[in-house]
Amino acid sequence: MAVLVLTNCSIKINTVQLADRANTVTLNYEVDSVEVTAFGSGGHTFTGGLQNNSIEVTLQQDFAAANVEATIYPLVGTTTTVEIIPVNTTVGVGNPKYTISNAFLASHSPVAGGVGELASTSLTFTGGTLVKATS
Amino acid sequence: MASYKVLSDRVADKKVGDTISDAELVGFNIDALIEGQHIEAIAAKASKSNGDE
Repeated sequence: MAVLVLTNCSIKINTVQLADRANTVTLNYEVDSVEVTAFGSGGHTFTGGLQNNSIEVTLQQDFAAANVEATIYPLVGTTTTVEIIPVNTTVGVGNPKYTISNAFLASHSPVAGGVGELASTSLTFTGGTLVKATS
Repeated sequence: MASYKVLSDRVADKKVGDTISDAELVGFNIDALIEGQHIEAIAAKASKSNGDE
């Protein structure tokens, strides 16, 4: 195995490939810690609870047909499936595919940026269930 | 079972003009895909009349 420099991720939001309009992506896989500490314990004890996942993606805004705005705007306030692959090639042990189903998108900034800057939108999908596939 | 025509080249594993079924779109937001002009519904063909009327 080797370290990986992210240069060619696959980012599919609602089955739409948007990697060529994205420049950052972070997938956070988290499970709630549920306390099960009881009398007699020497310290706090936890067990795993519900998944508490999120995906953060920054997209370069594009108002062209079937592009960023057309894809993202209708998703606000709804759930969908988001798929991330570190390298946009064959999925395998060294290149797993992460799929979050029922991910909720609460907000989107159709217009954001300073003068002279690239218009972009930072999205955060929350919730859902993460599945990691290696084939 | 509803079917949709693919309109954009960004739909995963599909080309423009391909057909995609709602079974393939389980878990995805179909309304958003239609609104985003990635797919459009294919109208169901009318069933043939049996001529008894």
